[in-house]
Amino acid sequence: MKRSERMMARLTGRRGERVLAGAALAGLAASAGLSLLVAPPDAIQGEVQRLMYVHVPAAWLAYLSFTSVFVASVAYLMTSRTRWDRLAAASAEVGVLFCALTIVLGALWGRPVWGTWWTWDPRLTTTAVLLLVYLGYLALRQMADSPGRRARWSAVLGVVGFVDVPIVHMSVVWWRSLHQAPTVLRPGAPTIAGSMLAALLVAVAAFTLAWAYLITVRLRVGRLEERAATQALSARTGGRPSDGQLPSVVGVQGRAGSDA
Amino acid sequence: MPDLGYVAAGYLATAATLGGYLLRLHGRARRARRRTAALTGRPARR
Repeated sequence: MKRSERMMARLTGRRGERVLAGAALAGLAASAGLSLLVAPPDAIQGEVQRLMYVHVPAAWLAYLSFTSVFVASVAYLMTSRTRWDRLAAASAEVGVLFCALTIVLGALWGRPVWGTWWTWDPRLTTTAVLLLVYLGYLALRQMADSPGRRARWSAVLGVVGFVDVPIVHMSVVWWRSLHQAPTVLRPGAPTIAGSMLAALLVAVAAFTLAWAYLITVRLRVGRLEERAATQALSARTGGRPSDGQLPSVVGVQGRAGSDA
Repeated sequence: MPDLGYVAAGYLATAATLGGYLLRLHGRARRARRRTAALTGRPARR
């Protein structure tokens, strides 16, 4: 076993999960305290600007999740290893969750500030398209009839769908938008007060820990579900593989795609 | 709705989303372990 694999196994082990859960909980509590009690209200928007400390981390984690889907999909197409497919599936599911949360939080922020819950603004529209692309990705994973085909098709969509991520990020620069331009991830110094930036960075770090925890739990659930599906199919076929329809057993075969 | 109402709704929505998803994952894990145990006759590993 390679060193990186050993590290990953340790991180996704039961103890690693507990440590991540504790760190994420502590981080989220600290972030809530900083963003609700310590950070000052915005000079123009007032208290409602505090939604930034959950909206921005949620958007960042949607980006991170879909980047993870992209990297895992490329890795799967190159190696055909099941673990990459499993990581792509876990990242897509968590990414859809954070992308939907970003839209809901944006609507809650938009209503008092813009006077509307939703508008067909470039940033909002491209984010809605992003959510639809990855909902389609999850639907595709339910449709394919064999694990190998499912992994290959979804890896292709995972690569193609990623095109929308930089478009979402750059939409406020490329087109005239109601949404504000980047204040942190921009050329030059951030255009945000130091105390607000500190609270925002703590929130991003805490949410990233929560994301890592959700991904490790989702990976474990994926392994358990694959094992249950393998056992069910094995029981039906009397223990014999049926024309490449048998899902690969995690950690034994390590490769999917026997139906090529 | 006052400004703090939107803030409270946002933070509650975030907590409910993360907590709800975690509960759902635990339910899926439990069901998968039960299915494996029923098929093999022995408790499934994590």
